[in-house]
Amino acid sequence: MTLSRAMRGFPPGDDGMHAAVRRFDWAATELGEISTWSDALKALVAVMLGSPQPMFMAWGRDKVWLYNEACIPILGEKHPAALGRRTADVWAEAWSDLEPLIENVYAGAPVRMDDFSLKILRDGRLQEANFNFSYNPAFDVAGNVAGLFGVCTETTAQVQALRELASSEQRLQMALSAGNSIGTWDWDVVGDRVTADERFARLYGVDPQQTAAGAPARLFLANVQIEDLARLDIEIAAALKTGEPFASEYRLRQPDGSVRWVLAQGQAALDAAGKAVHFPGVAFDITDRKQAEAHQAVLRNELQHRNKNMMAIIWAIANQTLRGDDIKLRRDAFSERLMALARAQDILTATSWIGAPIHDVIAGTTAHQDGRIAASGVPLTLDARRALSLALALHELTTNSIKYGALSVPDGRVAISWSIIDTGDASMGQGFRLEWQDSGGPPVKPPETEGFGSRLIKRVLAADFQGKVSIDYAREGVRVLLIGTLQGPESLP
Amino acid sequence: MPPDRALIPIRTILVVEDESLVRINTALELEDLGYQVCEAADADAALRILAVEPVGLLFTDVDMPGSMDGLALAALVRARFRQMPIIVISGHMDVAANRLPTGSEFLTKPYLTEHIIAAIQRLSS
Repeated sequence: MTLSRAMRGFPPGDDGMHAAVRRFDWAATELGEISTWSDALKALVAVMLGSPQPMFMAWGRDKVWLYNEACIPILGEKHPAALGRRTADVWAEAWSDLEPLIENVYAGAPVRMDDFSLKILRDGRLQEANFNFSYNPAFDVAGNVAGLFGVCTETTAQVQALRELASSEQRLQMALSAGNSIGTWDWDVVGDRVTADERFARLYGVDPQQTAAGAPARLFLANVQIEDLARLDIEIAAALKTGEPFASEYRLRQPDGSVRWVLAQGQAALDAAGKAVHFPGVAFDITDRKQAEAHQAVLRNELQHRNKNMMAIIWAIANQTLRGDDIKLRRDAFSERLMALARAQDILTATSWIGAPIHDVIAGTTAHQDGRIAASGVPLTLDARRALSLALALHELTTNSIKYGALSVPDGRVAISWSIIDTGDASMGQGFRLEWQDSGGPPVKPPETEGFGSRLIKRVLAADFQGKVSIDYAREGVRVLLIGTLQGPESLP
Repeated sequence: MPPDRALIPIRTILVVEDESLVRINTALELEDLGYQVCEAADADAALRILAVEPVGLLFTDVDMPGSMDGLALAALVRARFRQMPIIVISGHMDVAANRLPTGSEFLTKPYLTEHIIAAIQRLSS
């Protein structure tokens, strides 16, 4: 067939589907030769083939399928075999869905479907595709429904995009919900309406339904801690004016009276005139972080306090020890006292400075005496102050005994005993009695002057145990008696 | 070198410090300088002493157990004894200046005897 002849036949036109319809052997179908087609059929076929919009037809009892060039991408691999075939064969895989719709059209009722989902064969496999369909009955000259005229638009890409958006939104909401501490807002600055999610609403103490519908911005500032409000106002004003990223940490009063910290971050969108129109953002509940920071600050403060106090203690020991002319003796004494302090610290560090078992304090001070110091008493825990004080006092007593007392001779012994006693005063709490007894040493001579060791025992030990200390320089052995209490004002050095 | 004792017209100093070793060391140092020293381990004990002793200078730590800390004690003493010099000491560097009473000096731990002497001199002048 030449071009000129083709142009003279029906349907006129030379694009692929015009030619395909013209060449098709319609005599083998219910429609018969083209020359026998009714004017109504020819008119519809001409309209269909001339349209850039995807269109198709089903004609006759067999619902013989015709379609235009724009419909080819929708048909996929069904083209070109679909032309002239029964609709039920063309759409065999979707016929159970399509048949009732098409039968409706044949009954005279148009059908419209948006984003209708069909499984169709494309690229060698069944794929889901979506279409907006409009099926309209086509009438013959007698006014009977002779076929179906369809207009179709594929919406697969839009449907998938919407699904992806919904999925993304769902993932976002799941992420936000998982944190349970992140709220989002969008402030229509021009209309002064803040819309926000439920988390944001609850965090700011505003009715969630009100925030879902949109509420004035001032409602969300009503529960801002008064000390933070002026600063926040300035920061918001700057963000609206400049369009620069906004970030602010402030406190919100909660309905139950508690206070929560939030970090709000957002960025205002400005119009061409530089005026803020929208201000979206997110708010994070950072109360836990703030509490952790506060706790850290307390710990740093406490650590600084302990360190400075410990330096003051060391300075006091140094100041009281390093007096006199024999610098080597003084230096050794200072070193030993420092070691005694360090050992007591080790014991306290093991219990986070809560307290120290008295057996550990005594063992830490007297461990190097080959069992010549016998310690006996009830198990009990001393607070940090008493533990340090006792450790230093026992160090002084041990050192003195090694130099002048029982531990200066092979047969000498020391007995340390302690017990809980009744103070007779309920407000004083448990009483405490500790005795140090030298025995088997050389005859004791009372010291001519009072040194740091004696002062430490008499004054520091007595003060820290809120009691009294007596030292008896008996000829047969030094006896030290502490009567005090086990509770009192706590203050860790 | 210790300052000239005559420059310091104070006879009795009340040392308030809960850390016994530090308190006693300070007391001994001040006694060596010729002062009479009263000792208290907390603010409540200090107030009892102030009620009966002719204290000329308050020397107090800040962090102490008991009903009030050293700053509260200093404020109370300032209210009751308008002319009494006060030395406030603390392990914290950041004690707010506006919490220190007028006519007071602030020292951080650890402090040397020379620091105490210099503070007393500044207060006396």
